[in-house]
Amino acid sequence: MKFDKRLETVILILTVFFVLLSIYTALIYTPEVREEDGWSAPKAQKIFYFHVPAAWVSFLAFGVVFIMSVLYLKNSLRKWDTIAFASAEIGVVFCTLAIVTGPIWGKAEWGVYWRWEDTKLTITFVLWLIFLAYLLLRGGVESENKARLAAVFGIIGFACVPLSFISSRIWQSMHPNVVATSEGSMSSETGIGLLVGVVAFSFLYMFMLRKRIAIQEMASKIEDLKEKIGGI
Amino acid sequence: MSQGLAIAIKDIKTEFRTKEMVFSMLVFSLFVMVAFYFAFYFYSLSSEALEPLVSPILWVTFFFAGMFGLLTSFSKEKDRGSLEGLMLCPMDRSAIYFGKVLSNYFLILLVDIFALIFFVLFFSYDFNGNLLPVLVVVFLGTFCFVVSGTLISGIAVNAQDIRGVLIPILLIPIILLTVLMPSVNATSKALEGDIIDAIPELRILGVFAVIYIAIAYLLFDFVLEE
Repeated sequence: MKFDKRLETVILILTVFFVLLSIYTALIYTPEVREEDGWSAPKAQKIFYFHVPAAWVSFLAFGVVFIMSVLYLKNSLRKWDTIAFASAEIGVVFCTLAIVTGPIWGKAEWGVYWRWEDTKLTITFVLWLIFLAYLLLRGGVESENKARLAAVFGIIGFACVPLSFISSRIWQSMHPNVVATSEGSMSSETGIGLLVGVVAFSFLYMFMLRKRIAIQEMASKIEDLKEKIGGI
Repeated sequence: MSQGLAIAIKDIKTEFRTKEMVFSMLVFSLFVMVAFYFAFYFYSLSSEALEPLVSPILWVTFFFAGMFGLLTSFSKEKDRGSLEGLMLCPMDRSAIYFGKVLSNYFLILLVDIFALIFFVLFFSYDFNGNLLPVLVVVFLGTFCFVVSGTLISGIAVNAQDIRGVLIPILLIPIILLTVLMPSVNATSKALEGDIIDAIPELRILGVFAVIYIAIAYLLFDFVLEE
């Protein structure tokens, strides 16, 4: 218990530190991209340090949902289900952030908010829909089946992502391809800015996950107590 | 497999005693066609202008009519309490899944074929001898839709109050890129007369059908567990 408390404090401190640091690196430390390099909206590109970490955390969170779902189906322990649920909720929040910040940049850079022909955009959108559906499923099913069915759908949903990727490889992607061209076009400052952002968001995710799990556990404890005294 | 076949035959038999589901699916696909016709009425589409709209209209009709079929495939059993009976049978749980896939496939294909006829009638469309390739795509695309849809239907049936809404909500994001897109693309290519061009899409559909069956085979036991 004591260790848990300490761990939480450490995560909180690291989160605050890295979030502050990432604000600094994103806004001040990293250089602006130049119009000569083919960017039409250099200032708007700064949103990249917010957009990419948000997208990263959403994929991480959905990955966690997948793993926890598999674990839950294996031995039906309630804790796996709680983690999966908490992670799915946070994932949806960060996925929403990524989906909102993307078009803000897109409007400035491309001139349009949304491009359906862009694979990454479309797949992130589909992923977002899948996990919204996941949360709705959890809301609609009564408690004894909820965890099991949600776990099954969590697995199907996550497995669907690589499948969607395969089927859309026929389209041309317009998305700035960060990973593939990192050696060539990304300067080290940009890399550091991005890394700090990713680390900050990952700690934020960890912190939020722990809090959400604690709330969920408290809620089920209250349910148990209610049952014990014969309430509803 | 023979157990699955038995379940499928039982389903089709009970369905054709009342015909209520097939009939409402047929009427629904008729309505969708009429709705499309009047939606485009203002432009009084010529046959060239209609060309790019053919496969989207067809697949939207197939999917929405098909979802009706998926809706009742488990909920009927659940409401009558016969799902427990099926689960008590000394056989693999996945046999129930395969049985449901077969019966759903049969019924939805039937509706698809009628929808094609309605389409030809209302839009006075001429397939120009491309009907066979289109049918190949329809058979494969519908199969892919049914294997994923039956699994989702098994999940959604547990949500008592909102199961009607839940099937489309759970199913559409999953099939959007894996079934809907390749099917529509392949149908458009087949309509142009070059089925060879559509082979990448058909291959994708085939692979996804196998993957969805594998996922269902692995996970269906958990869906039905009580």
